[in-house]
Amino acid sequence: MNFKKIITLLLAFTLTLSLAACGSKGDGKGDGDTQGATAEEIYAQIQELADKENAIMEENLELWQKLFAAMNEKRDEIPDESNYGAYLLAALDLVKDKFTEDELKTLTEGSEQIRDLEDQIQPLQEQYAALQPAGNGEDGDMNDAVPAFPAFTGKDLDGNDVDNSIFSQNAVTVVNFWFSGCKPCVAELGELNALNETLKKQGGAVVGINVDTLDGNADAISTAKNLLESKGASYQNIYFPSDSAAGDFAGDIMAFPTTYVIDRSGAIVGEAMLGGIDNEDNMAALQELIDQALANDSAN
Amino acid sequence: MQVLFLLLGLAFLVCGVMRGEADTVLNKAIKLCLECVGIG
Amino acid sequence: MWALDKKKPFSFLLARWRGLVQACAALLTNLHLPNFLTGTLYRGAGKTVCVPGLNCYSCPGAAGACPIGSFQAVVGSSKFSFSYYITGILILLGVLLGRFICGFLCPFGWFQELLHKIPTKKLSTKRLKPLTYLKYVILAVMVFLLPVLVVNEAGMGDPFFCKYLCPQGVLEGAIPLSLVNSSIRAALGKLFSWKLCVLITVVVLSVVFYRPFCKWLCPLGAFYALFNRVSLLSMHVDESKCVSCGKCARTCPMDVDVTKTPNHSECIRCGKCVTACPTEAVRFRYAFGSGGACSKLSQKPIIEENKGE
Repeated sequence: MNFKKIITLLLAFTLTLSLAACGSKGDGKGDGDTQGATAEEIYAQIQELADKENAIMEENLELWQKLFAAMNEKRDEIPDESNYGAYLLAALDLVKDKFTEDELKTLTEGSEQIRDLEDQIQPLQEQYAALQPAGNGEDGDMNDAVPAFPAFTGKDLDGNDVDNSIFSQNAVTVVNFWFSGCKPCVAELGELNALNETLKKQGGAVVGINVDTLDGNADAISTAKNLLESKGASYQNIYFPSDSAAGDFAGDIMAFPTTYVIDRSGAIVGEAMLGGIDNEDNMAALQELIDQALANDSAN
Repeated sequence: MQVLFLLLGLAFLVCGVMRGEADTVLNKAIKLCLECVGIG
Repeated sequence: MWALDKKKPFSFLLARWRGLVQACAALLTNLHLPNFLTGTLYRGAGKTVCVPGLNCYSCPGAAGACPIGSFQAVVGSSKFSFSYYITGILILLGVLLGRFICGFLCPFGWFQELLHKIPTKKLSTKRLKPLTYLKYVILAVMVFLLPVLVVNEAGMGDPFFCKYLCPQGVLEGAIPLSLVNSSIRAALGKLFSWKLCVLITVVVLSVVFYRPFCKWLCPLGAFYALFNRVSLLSMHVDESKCVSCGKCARTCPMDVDVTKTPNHSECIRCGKCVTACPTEAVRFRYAFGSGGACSKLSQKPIIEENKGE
């Protein structure tokens, strides 16, 4: 029947439209990752070069192993070189009497190649380290990037400037995301304040982020302050611009209340915790993460 | 009678928007308050 | 062409294609399908407006807000104790369409009907008519009074219906989200368990009874029901064609006798009476001045004429 065909076409059209529409709308907040993509690209490049170095050695594995054994004996005499290839060349110089001419030639060529590769790797490593969010270690090594709270600069609700250095000032920071229309979020403000008091003695703190106050909307700030006051919550609440990396991070948060445990280096400990801590199970789960962070902090 | 109700509905709608209720609706509808929908 | 076939009036066709309209309505109400895979909500401006049927805003695909949910959001906030905005929209919808929305446009109504198609013994709800008043109580108490009166220090109230009763939120919000999102899954607790029980109960009842939630529990249906008598869309019985065979009343799944009370508050305008009538006496009508109070006015001149004689 014609009618049925028309209806089917209309349905198919609507379905396609919906998929297309969501492609653009739904991803509105998904672009905060551009930094991450470039870091991954660089990481991949570094890996490629490192693989080439390994390939060189694998070609004459036994020979290189002989060299390493010889180097071991003379470890103290080898001059310090930041470039591994240069280091190998310097070492070769010291142990060259242990090798035949051909072997030396192979080893020297290989070491020079490695030196050149290292020269390429070094600037890439620096770029990679610079792209890591605030929390990552300064050595910028090739560990899988630990999820970290993005670097930010902002203010607290009383107008004081804050930035992500608050993480380094605390053994553990509990970051709680909430919004003013969320009754269960408001309900746990009292418990969060109590937690803040407890953590203060342990060298930690609770920090709240009311997502309505991002961008410093004055009405939202006064509403948030009233709510905090009504619950007697005195811990710091902060905000930052919504188009920053931290703003994107906050924008991606969909369910409230959400609580993160951040360690001293700014890395996120465990998974995000959803739900109010006025619930016993949630509080227990949160406490576990806090203890983990504190333990790691005192171990370092 | 029906016209009256239509006008009343329209008046309520406009009144509500001017009070800022539409913003409240949007604000609440785009953030998932877990307990409010029965999760947790 | 079917459109010009005088043997099939428009009412008949509308009733016949109701299932398709329901499917389309469910899709349009939850248009953002990719979100079901990402486990996120649509956050655009469309959510300023509520959809006509019962559809939770926590559904990943939801294109708009829920009328009942947004009403509670406004009255439960510290700033307001009544929502003119949502009530205004509901009054407009009530007058323009009335419970046609229940019969054709509500996704949860469609869900119950699909369940009812499962072949089991079916039970009649005729003797359970008093239960139909429960939904008005739920509307008044859970949707309006409790969020306004039971407030915290800041004047905020819980959305009681959404939080404790609404099965639609579990079906299209909690379940799809927790399937895809592990942190939400971890957050499921006692409240979810209770609401899951409510959903399962409604599901089981829907297999055995026709639309039990619509009849006994839905506060949105209760509101629209109040407007059935003044709605522009109504059922009309042509007295000259009606042979009083009673088939319509027997077919009606909402226990309404369309020949006696065509705009009864329980009528969801499903059109089964239209299809059942052997003389095509029952039809949909969309016009001003129909049914209810106005029909008495149209009879007035006749009575006066009789008196005059």
